[in-house]
Amino acid sequence: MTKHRVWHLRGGIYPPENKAQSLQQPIRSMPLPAQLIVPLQQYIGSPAIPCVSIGQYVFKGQLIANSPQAISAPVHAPSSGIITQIGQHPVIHPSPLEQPCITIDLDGKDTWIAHQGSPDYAGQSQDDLLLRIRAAGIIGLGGAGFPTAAKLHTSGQKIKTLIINGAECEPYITTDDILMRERAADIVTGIQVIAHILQPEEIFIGIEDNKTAAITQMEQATLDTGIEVVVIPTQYPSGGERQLIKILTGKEVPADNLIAQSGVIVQNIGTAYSIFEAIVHGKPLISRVTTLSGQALGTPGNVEALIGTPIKHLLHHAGLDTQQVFRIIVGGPMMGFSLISTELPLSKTTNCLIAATRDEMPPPPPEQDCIRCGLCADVCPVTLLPQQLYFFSKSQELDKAEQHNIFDCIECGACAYVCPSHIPLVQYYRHTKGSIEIQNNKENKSGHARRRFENRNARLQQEENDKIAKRQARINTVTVIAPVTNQTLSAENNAMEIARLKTAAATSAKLAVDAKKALIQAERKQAQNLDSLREQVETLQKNAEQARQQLLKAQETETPSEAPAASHSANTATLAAPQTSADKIAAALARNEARKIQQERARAVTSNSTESTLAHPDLTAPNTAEKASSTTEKTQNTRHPSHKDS
Amino acid sequence: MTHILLAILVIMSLALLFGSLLDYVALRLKINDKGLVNKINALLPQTQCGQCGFAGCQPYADAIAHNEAAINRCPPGGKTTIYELADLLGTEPLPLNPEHGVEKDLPYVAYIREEECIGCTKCIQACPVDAILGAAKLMHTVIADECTGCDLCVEPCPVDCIDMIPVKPKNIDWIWDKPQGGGHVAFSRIPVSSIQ
Amino acid sequence: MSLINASSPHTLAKNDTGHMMQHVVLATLPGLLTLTLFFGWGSLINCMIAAIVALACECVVLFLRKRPVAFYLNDYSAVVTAILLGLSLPPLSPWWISCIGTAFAILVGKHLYGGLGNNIFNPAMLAYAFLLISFPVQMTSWLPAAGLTQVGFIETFQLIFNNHFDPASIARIDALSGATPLDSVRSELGLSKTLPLIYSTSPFDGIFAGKGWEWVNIGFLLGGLYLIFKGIIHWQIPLALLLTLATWAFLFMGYDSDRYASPIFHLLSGGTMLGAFFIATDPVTAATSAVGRWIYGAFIGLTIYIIRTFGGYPDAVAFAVLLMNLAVPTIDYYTQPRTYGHKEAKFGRGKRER
Repeated sequence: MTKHRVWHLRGGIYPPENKAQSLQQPIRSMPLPAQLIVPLQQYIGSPAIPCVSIGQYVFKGQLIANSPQAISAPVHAPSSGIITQIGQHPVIHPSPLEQPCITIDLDGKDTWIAHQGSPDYAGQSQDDLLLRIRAAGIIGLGGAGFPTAAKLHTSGQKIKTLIINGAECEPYITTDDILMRERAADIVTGIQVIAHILQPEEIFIGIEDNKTAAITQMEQATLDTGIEVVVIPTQYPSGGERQLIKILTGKEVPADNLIAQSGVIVQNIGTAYSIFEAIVHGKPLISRVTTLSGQALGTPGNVEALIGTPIKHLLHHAGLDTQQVFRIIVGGPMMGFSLISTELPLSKTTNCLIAATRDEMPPPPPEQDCIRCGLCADVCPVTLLPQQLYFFSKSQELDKAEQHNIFDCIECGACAYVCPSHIPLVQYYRHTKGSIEIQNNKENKSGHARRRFENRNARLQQEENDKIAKRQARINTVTVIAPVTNQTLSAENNAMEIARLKTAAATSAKLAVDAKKALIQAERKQAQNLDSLREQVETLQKNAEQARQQLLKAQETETPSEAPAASHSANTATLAAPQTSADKIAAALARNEARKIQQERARAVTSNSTESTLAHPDLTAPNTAEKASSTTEKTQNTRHPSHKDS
Repeated sequence: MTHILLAILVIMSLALLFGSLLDYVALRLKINDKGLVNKINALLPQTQCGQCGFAGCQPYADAIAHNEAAINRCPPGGKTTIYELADLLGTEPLPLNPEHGVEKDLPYVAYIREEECIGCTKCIQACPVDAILGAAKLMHTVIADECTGCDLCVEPCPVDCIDMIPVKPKNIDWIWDKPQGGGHVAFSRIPVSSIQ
Repeated sequence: MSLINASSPHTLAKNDTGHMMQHVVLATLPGLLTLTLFFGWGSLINCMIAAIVALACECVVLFLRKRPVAFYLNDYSAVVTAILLGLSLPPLSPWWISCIGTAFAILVGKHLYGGLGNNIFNPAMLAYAFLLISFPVQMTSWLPAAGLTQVGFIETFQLIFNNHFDPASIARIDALSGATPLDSVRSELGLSKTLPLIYSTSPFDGIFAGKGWEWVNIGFLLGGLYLIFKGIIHWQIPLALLLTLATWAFLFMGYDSDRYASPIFHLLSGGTMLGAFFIATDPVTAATSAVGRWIYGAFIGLTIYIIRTFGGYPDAVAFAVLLMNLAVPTIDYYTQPRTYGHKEAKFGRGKRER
């Protein structure tokens, strides 16, 4: 078998691996805790919306929260029990802030909901498989947690290479290693499902050379499958997505692009296994293999833990020595963060928990001055200048930090690892990245506020101008037609009288129309008081007729020369009024119809829980409403040609 | 003796020459007014609150560009804006002038207590960014996403039903603290009781 | 008993600034030993005076700057500066030369710029240049390579501390002083003597490049190789410096071997090896990018050759290093590496256009 070429990754470090302590035993399961606290926000974006209520009994694997957004994953109950709380709870995060969670008090029976998989994945369409992966709530288990269905939905982009990430370069973590040792065949099936969806030209599994047992198992499982196991040198951080792509294909993904745009997709071993479980067995993602390691544990190892298990429970059952423990870390020692409480629930992306003693991880020494030795730049896998970034971060020169590509930093920690002055470089960069984003948000917000302010000023200015123009127009028409005489004075009085009658006629007409509308609605609903309504309508219509007659009489007694000119626009207005109001009624009724239809459709969409949000229901009814309202607008515009809606 | 006098003369004329050259250059390459005003305006927070004493951010930017106002009069912009303005203009940053207000550490938005609102539209007319939704004799409400916290709406309200409330920081707004620097350690201690 | 909450990474390598500096001091020992063997006890005593004064000045300044004194003294940077300066001074220079020089190096050369890591110029070389210009007589009174016994330890001590005021001491020092090989090459060439003639007289009689000095330089070369092996300095700067110096010397020698000295002579005399491995590689003042280091080292080599051959001073290492220290920000400006995923490197420090 010809070995695939492996490219060299620049920089990198070789920290002590500390993996042996968690590989002594096979994967074991944990006893059920009393309570599970399932986080609803797994990734950046809005949290999933609960679809259960407090007091409801849920089965293991039952859907408890869904999200209509495309980049999101639904959440399932990891065990059977009763929902006791839906609200905020602290979760695993470097900040002490809280996130929405659903708390389930377990009944201990662990009863599965009815579920069924289908081993024949090759016979299903790609869209169907993606829907089922989404429905199973699968996200990237390598640490970032990006929803897998969204990642595999490449929408037309041709994928040349599928890379499965089995590198696991960080010290202490052994979940992928032990999964590959024990469940190699299942993982390969999962990879084949992904391959069926993406149809890549080549498939690689990258595994570091320190995992000899795993390599053997995977090579056996991938015989005659077209999947190639590539052994890469042990180096940190060779397991980062972009770094692994460079090692296996020699290509560098451009910094501004999504990785998929270069024709490569990278998936984690754990994700491939979850896909296997979801497609072949029909089980949603409700548990994951997590490494429990560190000298302060009595029985370190890998456990199959339910999502939402309190960390306290896991550490306790691994024999945590609370006297010896000095630091509890979520994730690996290079990129993980330390915890200040163990009441937090396990999330889908928690791949490792380390309970370290003081000797194992002594407190970091105080920070000294940077001596500009350049060791940090020697080890940076992204070829950044960590030294310069440090100086810019310290002096708050955010522009310069951005220009030096601080956003390309993957926060691997290699630079801080080698720094002889013990400077916490990664914390500086994280702070600076956050500061730059805050600054950008502030600028966007102020730009937005400025535009609104300018629009408002423009609108007020426009209204001023309109008022002046109208005043001008009124003055012009009056002086042209009416010289100042006694006749004019009486004519003015008449004009005022006519104006009053006009208002009265318009008001009574409107009242009549409103009453007619109410009657029609009541008839439709078959309400009780139809007779009184009908009487009202008749009275109002009579009043309206009377008012109109009065107006016409008053207008006829006017001198013909004055009346038409002065009330020309009023006449057209009065004549036009019935038409436009009729149009308006028709438009309003049509809009109501359309809204009802839209609501019904929306209800149909959300009730079907596996419905992909990528489909757009087409609504024809609103279009007719739009057409009706546009004709109304047109006739309104002829009435007031100079008035523009803002 | 003549040598010394000659030397003095030469040095003086050189000084005169270079001095006038510098003056001329300073005059010719004077700051372009229009562009500068826009650049200053882009740095201001655009709350249009008037706390600086000018009728909005654009007039204040104008005044700064013409050296009629100091750069430390904007409380919503705070220290960051003062530093950015100092950077742009090449002047010294000054502390915020307390006559014009104090810098608030949290963002605030207005909130209308709807039970008390009488629908007079006075606040709608006062809002510089049209962040209040409503019409005459109908309910008024503040669109929180558009509100810049300028609190110009609070005064005109005849029934005093508008409150300024601080916005709670969301998870997405949290950032890491900056390490303290030389000689300090970058960790904190927590009591072990939190894990028992 | 408490837990700690710290930022990643949670394990650190065993690197430490203090240890690195200690290794640098250790690496100067072969050179220092050979200096003592050939030129007497003077250099050792000068180094000790310098070290004591450096630590004292550092204490005072840190106290005035309200910094934790013991913590900052632990990085040994003051000791390194002191020893490098002490090695550059003539063996019998008076005690006050060492004191003034070291005080200048620590106070002006280092702390005035902001402390360790913030200085532009190499403090030891800054002090050397300052002393050379202010006290030319004392700074150019070198000894011939007459071995350890020419002046006994007690006598050296007395000469150094008698401050050159005592007429007997002055007479003694005058009797002892001689020119360095570089000095004599320069002055004799000025008298239109050819090189082969110069090489045959004292202070040469050496195997390669002047008796005594060649072994001193070989001693520093060994120390430098030790530092490269330990990974404490980058190999690009010394290699670039020595290669450039040798190349230019070779070219000029090919042109006229009677008037231009050989590469071996340039490499093994004066402060070349000390400069190449200990002074030019000072991390605080050297260029930071990989390409930048090559450029920096090469131009120092070139400048050393130019000043030695055409300039006014016999030994040029200090001035060459200081000149290139000035150029380091520009070198860094133009030699940023290309980041992963970007098509080409960006220039400049970056100021966003608004």
